Amino acid sequence: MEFAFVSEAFKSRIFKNNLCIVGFGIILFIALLGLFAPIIAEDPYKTNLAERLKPPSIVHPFGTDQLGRDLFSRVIYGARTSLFVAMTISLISMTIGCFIGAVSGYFGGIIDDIIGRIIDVFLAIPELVFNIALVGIFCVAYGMSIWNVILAVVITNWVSYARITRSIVLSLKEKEFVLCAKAIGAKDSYILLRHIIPNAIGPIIVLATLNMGNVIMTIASLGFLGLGIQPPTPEWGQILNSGKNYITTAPWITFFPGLFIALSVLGFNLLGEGLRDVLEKRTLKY
Amino acid sequence: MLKYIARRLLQIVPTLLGISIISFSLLYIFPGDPAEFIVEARYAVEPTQEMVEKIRMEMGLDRPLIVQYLDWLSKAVRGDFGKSWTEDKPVMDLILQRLPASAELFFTTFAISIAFAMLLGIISAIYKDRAVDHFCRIFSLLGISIPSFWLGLILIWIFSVQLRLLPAFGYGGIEHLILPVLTWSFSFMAIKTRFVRASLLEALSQDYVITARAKGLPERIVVLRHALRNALIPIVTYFSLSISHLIVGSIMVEVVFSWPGLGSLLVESVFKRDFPVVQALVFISGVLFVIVNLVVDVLYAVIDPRIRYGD
Repeated sequence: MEFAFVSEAFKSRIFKNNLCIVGFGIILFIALLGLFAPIIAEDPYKTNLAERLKPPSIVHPFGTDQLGRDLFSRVIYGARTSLFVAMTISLISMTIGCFIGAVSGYFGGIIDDIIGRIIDVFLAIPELVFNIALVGIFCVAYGMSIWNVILAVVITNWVSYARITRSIVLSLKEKEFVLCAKAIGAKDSYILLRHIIPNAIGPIIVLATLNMGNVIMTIASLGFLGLGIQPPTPEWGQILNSGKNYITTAPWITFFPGLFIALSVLGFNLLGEGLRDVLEKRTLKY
Repeated sequence: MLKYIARRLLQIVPTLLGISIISFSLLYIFPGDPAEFIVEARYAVEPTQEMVEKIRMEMGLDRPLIVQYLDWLSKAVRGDFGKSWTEDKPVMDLILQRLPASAELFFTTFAISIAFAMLLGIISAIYKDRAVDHFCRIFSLLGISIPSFWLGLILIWIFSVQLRLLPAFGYGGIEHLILPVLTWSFSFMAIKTRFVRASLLEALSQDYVITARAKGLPERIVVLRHALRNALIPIVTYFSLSISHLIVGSIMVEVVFSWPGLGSLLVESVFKRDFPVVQALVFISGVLFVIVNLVVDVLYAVIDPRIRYGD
């Protein structure tokens, strides 16, 4: 019953889809680098002023930064930061968004009217503007912390999950199998958990994959503006921010972290598009 | 028609109210006394009881919250967002000062992106699944995946540092405009290209296209006269909607190139803790989005009468 869509036929369709394979490959590559960072990379915090701003070489494949830290290690550890923070944000906003969307769509009436309006409001305010404003205010209120970024992005990010879950639930709740469950006296919570959520999970997975790319981009953007994850914690956007001051003398500080941002966003976009291709064929059956 | 416009106007009222509540509460979601905060931000001194009281009275912070909100809202709809916390100027003056630079960057990018998105999208749709199509699709995927601030820095490195052809940052003549526009256009047209391609493919699958082909019309005429004309309605709508990016769609690009527009104003204000400016920009960008949507919807209904009855 649960995860009914992971059938054998479905699996083979995923593996035949080029977009899925390439996207998944890129993500796996970056995730493995992050996972094995302690083995393949050096200490990303170790400064060495004698080795400042050195170009890429065998000892330092990506060169060194303005404090003589090994850039390769910082970029690899940056993968940990970005993926971990992005996954935390996605999971929290998915949970909140899907719950609100499901409640709104399932119960309808005045609850749906109110939640629908709230969703409209959050969709109207440009995400990055809202994020920058929130992070700025949180910094003043609570001091610089990684949780500012997580909280700010969750506040804007749950909306897309709520909107899509709401529309799926609206279309599902009139279907025969849901009406039958109701007729035999099933509780609302049972219908939501056993009938509605398993059927809504496909489009939500597609959204979550594409959304991971957006979230990584947002984290990097905030980092680049100096509002995100603070040094010395290695984070791609923030490394780029320090690299911009050395663009004439040490362009490698700019080049490599940006390449990793682009690669990981591309990976999630490819995988998301591929999954959509695969899952849309299935959704036609509804 | 009037009935339709009236209904749409009524629909946006709760959204606008919601945007105003969020913008207003941005200043009140953190613990602590705003008045104390203002003294610190404006005079950079340890706040004394006296000064705090004075500011509190001056700004009406001693009134009930709901009164403060209604007062703020009634001024905001007239374009009065109060005074900046750090400069002795109205917030609106600061915003109007930066608007021309943002508008210049936006409309140049908009024009160039539309031209290229139309061209690439049409080519991509006509030659679906051929090499050109794959190229266009990869190009637009890269456009949404490559961070604009990185692309901007790379372009600076190539054209300013290495080739010494263009200025790396600043605002002025046309040479200052080239790199920011190039950077922004790359991502701006990526999404638009995909949309043009999808809309044209949708139109090409309609019955009237089969009829046109069956009549023996040349493919060029079928695509340009029959399919494209019909596809233009969603395309124009989609393009018009992006006008709402005018205010702060270019934050990252403006910051990279030190472009004195509204995006960099937002970021500077956050760092200076000039929150009335931040609040105003959040409010204005939200309202602009709603209004642009409304105008596009109404125009859409004027062009295509089916919309009015379908609702």
